[in-house]
Amino acid sequence: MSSLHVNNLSHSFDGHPIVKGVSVFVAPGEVVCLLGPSGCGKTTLLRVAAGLEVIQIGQVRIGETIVDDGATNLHVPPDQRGVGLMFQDYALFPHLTVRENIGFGIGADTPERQLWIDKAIEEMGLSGYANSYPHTLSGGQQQRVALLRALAPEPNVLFLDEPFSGLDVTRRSTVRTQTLDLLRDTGVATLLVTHDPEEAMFMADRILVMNHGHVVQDGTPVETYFEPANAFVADLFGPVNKLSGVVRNRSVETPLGTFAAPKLKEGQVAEVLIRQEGIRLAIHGERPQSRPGDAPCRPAPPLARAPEPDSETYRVISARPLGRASLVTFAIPGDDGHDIKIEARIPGVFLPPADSLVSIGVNANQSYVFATD
Amino acid sequence: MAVPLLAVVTFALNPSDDIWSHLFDTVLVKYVRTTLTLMIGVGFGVFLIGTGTAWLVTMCRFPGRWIFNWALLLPLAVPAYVLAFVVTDQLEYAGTVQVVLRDVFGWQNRQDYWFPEIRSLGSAIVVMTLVLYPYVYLLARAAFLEQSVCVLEVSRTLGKNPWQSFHSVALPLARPAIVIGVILALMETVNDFGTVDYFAVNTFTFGIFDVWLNMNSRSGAAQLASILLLFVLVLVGAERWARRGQRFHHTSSKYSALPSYQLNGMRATGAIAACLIPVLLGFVLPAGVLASYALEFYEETLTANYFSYVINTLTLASVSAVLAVGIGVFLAYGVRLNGSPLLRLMTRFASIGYAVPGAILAIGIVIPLGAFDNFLDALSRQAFGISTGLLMSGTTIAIIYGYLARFLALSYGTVEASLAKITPNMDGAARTLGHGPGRSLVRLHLPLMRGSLMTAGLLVFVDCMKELPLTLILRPFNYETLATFVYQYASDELLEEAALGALTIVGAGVIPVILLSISIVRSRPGRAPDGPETPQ
Repeated sequence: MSSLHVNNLSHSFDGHPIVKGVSVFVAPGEVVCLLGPSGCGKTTLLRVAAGLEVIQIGQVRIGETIVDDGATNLHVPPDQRGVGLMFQDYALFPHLTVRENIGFGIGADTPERQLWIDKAIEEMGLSGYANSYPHTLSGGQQQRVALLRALAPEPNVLFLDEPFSGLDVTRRSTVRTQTLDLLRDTGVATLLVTHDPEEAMFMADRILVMNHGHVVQDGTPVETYFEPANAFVADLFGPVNKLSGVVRNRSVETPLGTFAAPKLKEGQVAEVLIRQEGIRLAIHGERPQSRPGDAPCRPAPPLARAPEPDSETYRVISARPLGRASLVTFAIPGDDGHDIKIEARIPGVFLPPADSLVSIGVNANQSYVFATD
Repeated sequence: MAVPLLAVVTFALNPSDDIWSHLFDTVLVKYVRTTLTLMIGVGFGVFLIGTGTAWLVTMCRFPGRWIFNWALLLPLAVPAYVLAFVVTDQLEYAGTVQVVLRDVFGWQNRQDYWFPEIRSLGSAIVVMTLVLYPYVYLLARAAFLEQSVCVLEVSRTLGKNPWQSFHSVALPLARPAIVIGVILALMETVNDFGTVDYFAVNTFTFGIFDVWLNMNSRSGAAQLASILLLFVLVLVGAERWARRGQRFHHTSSKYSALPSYQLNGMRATGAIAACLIPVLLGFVLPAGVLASYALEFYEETLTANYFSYVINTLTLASVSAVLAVGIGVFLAYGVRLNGSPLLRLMTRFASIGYAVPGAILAIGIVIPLGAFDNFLDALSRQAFGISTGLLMSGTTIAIIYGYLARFLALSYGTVEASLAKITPNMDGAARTLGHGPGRSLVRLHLPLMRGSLMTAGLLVFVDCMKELPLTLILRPFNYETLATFVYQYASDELLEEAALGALTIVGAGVIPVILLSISIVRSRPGRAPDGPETPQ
């Protein structure tokens, strides 16, 4: 088992820089996830590391072997670096059966791997399909065949490019669990690329968030979710409410309350991001649950329109059920006299009628203050 | 593959004997005028028949529609010169039609009645239209089928009747495809030699042969050829331009069952007639006449000579087909592996040959090969005192080279399209699974492309069988293929004896037509999208 080192990799297409000086390390048995929107350079990085693109700047090592070096124009072709790659579209060979597909990368001279294939086909629930052609399989089955095909030659490093995006939502969670179990069993160093934050959180030991060709944050899923490095990362993990204010006395005053900003300069214009699920609501007259560490809410000033909310309540615009949660939109008065719409995601069913009044609480752990330039 | 073109231009620009002014004074204007008239006539004819029949069979329902669907392609199997021979044979003074007319009306001789002159520009236009309209039909039909029905339905709900919808929506949407079809037909028109020679129509291609063989002036022929090349380059440019426009014409990707306007009574009869006449005249008539002659005269024609022509033809065509597919795969896979702009440009250049008339290519091949042979001959005489003779230019190698230069585009295009259907991720998968480029080609691409490679080979094979002008110039002395044999016998008014040969060519030509109709049915939108190719 080997580790993967990508050092200071930069790559451009037709003069447009796509990846700008990114370093990635994946230890044996570790699953590292590159997370970012499309066009952030994550797939390019994966393709360079797998050898499908010729490196331009930087270095790639698998274990102790240098397989790519931009400085010396060293490039080991993909067929000689012992990597496995599973593509987003699976790229199964349509003219070969399931078994032939999985066995494509190994020679007849390795009987123990042939046995491994037989066992793996059975364990992954494909035993009835060994002699079927890929187009007769369901999406989930194709995904498993592609994964086994990539793992069959015992690769040093495994690359997964959006491995679950082709599956419908209901199948995804089972396939994810199955995949993760298989990866744990083999103990291969895995680099996974995705744009789905939930997938990244579920699969990864570490998440590298990429944007515009840079790694903007490197941390565990919990760190990345609760301590986002900037507004982009916070935004990536789900919709947020954005308010702005100026830092005074190490905190930012907003219509929704006061938020601590210990690291920002006095007078700095700042942006406050509050996750939808970071807002708690209660029907007028009751108080929302309050927990230690909540941001201090100041009393709300009166709104312009009837029914007149009193000093601590806000007017509901709409409330929609989402199944496991409810999405409540309410108005708060902005600085310029216009109302600002705030969206809150409340667990369970919470559907106050439009124009009714609610009082709120804000979870400080789910709100973040960043300086704006 | 670009050598022939460069040779023609170089040779034309460095004339050994100055006949520019002579050419200009005598025949150039005539050639230009005739060629343009022919192109305009054929262009208009193929547009009318091709688009009209395509609309009828895709959008209307009438008895026999599904037969016409593919039967309208059949004339593609008939080389223009074969139709010309048959038409003349039937319509000239001693032909069946005039004989019957004289019998019926009791006319005694030519002075008693008027009958159009068969060997004329008009006939050439009609003959070429009849065999070339399937190009337009094929592409227009595909375009109509691809059009989202929603677009047409929107037009109907906005108050347009079917005819107005066709005129204001369907036709403009299909315009790029129709333009490409017309241009392809025009390229064939310019290439044609057999018909214009037989009808004594003075086009450029006719002129090239005339200047070369009768005036014995190579440079004169090269000069004419390079002017003709200008015509062709305009056509190629127009085709590229039209293809560029095509990309923007898919407005909606939703397909439902195609709507059909049920035609009844007179209208249905009209539709049947409109579809039947081109098929009858373009295929059934020539094939029937040839078949009856072939049956009647098989004793005289089914001789050892016939079989030697068939063997010559098959050898040339199959060697060329195999080479063309091999080179096509080599180029297309090369471009896929290493998409450098230079390689792309080279393949683009190499594949332009299809647009270039065979006569031009032939001249472009004879000139450099002749020079090469003379050089080799001189060298060997100097060194060994032995004359090598004409090693290349007088042999079948020259013909195969010519076929390759002309038809490589066909195989390359087919291979490229087939290769494009294999996603790059497949290559990536094979590569990361330890297969180098060569092994990937053998284990992945070739098996997946097998069907298309067969098609490519077959297309080249049949086109080589039909090709006349190039073969005529490049063949070794006394070496006959079916096409040259038919041409010579028919020119000598011995169509009966050439019938079997002509029928063989037409028969071979039907094969790709069948392939085409199968692929058309398969690719129809509105059906379930084709999954990955299933192995046969």
